[in-house]
Amino acid sequence: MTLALTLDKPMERVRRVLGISSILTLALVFLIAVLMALITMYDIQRERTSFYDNLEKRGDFLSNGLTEVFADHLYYARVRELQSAADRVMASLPDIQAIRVFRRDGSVLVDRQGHAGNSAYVVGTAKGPVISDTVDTGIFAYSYTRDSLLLTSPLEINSEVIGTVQFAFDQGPLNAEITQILLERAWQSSALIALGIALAYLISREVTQPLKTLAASAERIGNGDLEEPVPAQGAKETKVLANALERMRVELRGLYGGLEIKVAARTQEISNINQDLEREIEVRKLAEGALRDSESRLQSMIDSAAAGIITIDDEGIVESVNSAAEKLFGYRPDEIVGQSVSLLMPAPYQDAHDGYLASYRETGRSEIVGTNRELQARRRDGTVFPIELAVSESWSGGRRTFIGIITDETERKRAEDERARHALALEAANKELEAFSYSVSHDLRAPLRSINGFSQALLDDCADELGESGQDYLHRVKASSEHMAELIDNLLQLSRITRSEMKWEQVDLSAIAGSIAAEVQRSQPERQVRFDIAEGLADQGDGRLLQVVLDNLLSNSWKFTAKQPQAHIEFGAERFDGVPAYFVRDNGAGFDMAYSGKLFGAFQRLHPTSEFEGTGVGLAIVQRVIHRHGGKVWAESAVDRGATFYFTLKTGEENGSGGKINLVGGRQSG
Amino acid sequence: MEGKLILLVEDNPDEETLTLRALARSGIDSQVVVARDGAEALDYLFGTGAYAGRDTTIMPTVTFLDLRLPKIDGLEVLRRMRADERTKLLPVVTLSSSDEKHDISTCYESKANSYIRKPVSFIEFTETVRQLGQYWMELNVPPGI
Repeated sequence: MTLALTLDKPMERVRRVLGISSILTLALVFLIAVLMALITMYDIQRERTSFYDNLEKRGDFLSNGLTEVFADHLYYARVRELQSAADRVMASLPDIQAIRVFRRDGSVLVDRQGHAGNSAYVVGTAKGPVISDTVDTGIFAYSYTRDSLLLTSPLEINSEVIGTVQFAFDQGPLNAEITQILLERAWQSSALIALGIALAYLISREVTQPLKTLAASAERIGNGDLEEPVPAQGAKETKVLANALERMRVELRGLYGGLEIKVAARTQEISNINQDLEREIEVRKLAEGALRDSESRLQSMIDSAAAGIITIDDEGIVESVNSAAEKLFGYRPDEIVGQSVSLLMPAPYQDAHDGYLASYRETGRSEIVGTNRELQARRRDGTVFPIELAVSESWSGGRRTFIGIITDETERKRAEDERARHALALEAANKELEAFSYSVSHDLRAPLRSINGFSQALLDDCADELGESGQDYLHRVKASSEHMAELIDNLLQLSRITRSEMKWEQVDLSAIAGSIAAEVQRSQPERQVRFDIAEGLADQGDGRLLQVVLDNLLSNSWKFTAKQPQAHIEFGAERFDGVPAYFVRDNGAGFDMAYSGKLFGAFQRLHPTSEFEGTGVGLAIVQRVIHRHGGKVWAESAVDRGATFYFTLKTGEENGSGGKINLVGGRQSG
Repeated sequence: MEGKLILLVEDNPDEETLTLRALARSGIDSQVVVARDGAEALDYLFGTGAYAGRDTTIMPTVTFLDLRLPKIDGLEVLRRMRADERTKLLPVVTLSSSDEKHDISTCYESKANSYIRKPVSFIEFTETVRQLGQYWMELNVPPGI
């Protein structure tokens, strides 16, 4: 990888610097040069080999033919003959430059140097090989110098080497031949390179020119000029490329055209939206103005609210207080805003409040938020007072605010406590009354029974001893005890009516009146009394209590018409102040309206018992029942002209404004 | 009416005298046992205390029970009678001065057989006692003992 990088980098640089045609030319020239060099080297080598082969063949021939002669002369140490023999050889073979004969110890015996003109020129070494006894006969060796080929051959007599002969052949022709070859090749190379350059030029013109054109087109396209078509020229591949580029250009132009239309449409759209936004901003500004007005109204409402309003943040820090809250707690706003709201709580709540808030943030569950709670709060001066707290939460901009509305419950609590005390007292009083009633009904009646019983026993057992007057007295005792029993019963009934619980239902008053009339008629069948009972009178009320009312009123009428030969009792209804006023009317004794104030009081009687019996509790009971129904009762009468008793079961529209009401009201209060 | 027994539970001697007188005047000659408070009534019924050793197979045909009694009140006597196997079916007539609804309903809830309000008039009372004797001693068929 490192290698690839180190190679890639220079190649990349080359490609960057040089155009494709330069690379092509350089490559071609390089190729030709390498080829020519190889050819030249091959030629030279071949030339040299053939030259040497030739020389060696001649050398072999020379040594074979001459070594015997030279050996003889050496053997006999004929130096002069050796010299002349060498001269002859050299004369006949002009390419032999020198001949040397060496003794066995390598010393030179004969050294004949070459041609005239360069006799000073010493060829080869001046010392021949040292021949030892152990050296094989037949030494025959070539060696080369720069200019010569040296052939050293042994000189033998009777297979014993006695010395050596050396021939130095001139290499001049070989060198000349090589120079010739080199020159030739140089010319050929030059010609070939020139041809290569021309060829490269042609190729680059054929291939790179269209590519350059394509490149220019591509650059134009790249710059966004899509109008000029891409010319298709050059080789097949280039044309394919050009066509592809042209198609791309046309397509791009189409796309750009569509894009421009789209951009124009979008621009229009954006402009429309902008106009809408501007209009909306106008509307918003108006709304904001209205909101500001509303806010300031709300603020003044909050400030003038009777209840304390405190807002706190998520951590329980007070954000705002209204004036009512200031007064309630005794803090100025700057003393409490920014402080923990727990400042306003007494000890147990104070410590727990942070925990409550944290728990609510985590779980979303609270016993406070969304409900009204009665709690204790702490004023600045440390006093603790009861409050009712309603907490709501509101989210705005990702921030939570708790809004607490605080009502001072001190007064209400006090009133409530007082009411509870009163209720307790009332309950105790009622209990006492109940016990009293029970006691009355049991304990007061028992002695009366004794009085009555033993009086009767006396009358039964001792009538003779008592005499007339004694018996009369005892009868009076008996009657009194019975009357007292009746009084007690009525008193109990009155107290029970006050205590008993009201059961509201639809009550058929006509039916009740009818059955009472039948009953009283049965009790005194000898009396002739005409009853007129209106049909279909019914109203909402407690049936048992209304039975008591009608029983009392009808019995009264029955009683007070006793002396009337043609008694007439009527039950009906009239409208009075928009509500039905029921009445019981008779043509009996009646009463003096001057005493009407005593009419509905308990144990009040307007007639002597000797004339009309009774306890005087009946009308008191009637009034109490009617009052418990929320109605009114009154009467109209005159002595010996009969009486009419009216009652309503609900309050009239013009409550208390009528003359009759005033009249009756006066009686009631008395 | 021989062999028949009335238990009168009454603490007030006047009331006792008058009741006995009313019974006599009504011609009811059954034996009448008078218990003067609730405890004595229960002792008699169950053969305990002063009545230890009494033959408890003999039980009153009817018991006239006053509500307001010392020691153990009438309602408690009634409840204990109803809780005991020997007396739970015995006819009990409550004789009371009260006409309070509460008293009446409590008596019936405690399984009284009848509730009678004693009238003040002795003549009326005698008539009441006469009817009671006639009904409970003669007409009514008592539970088998």
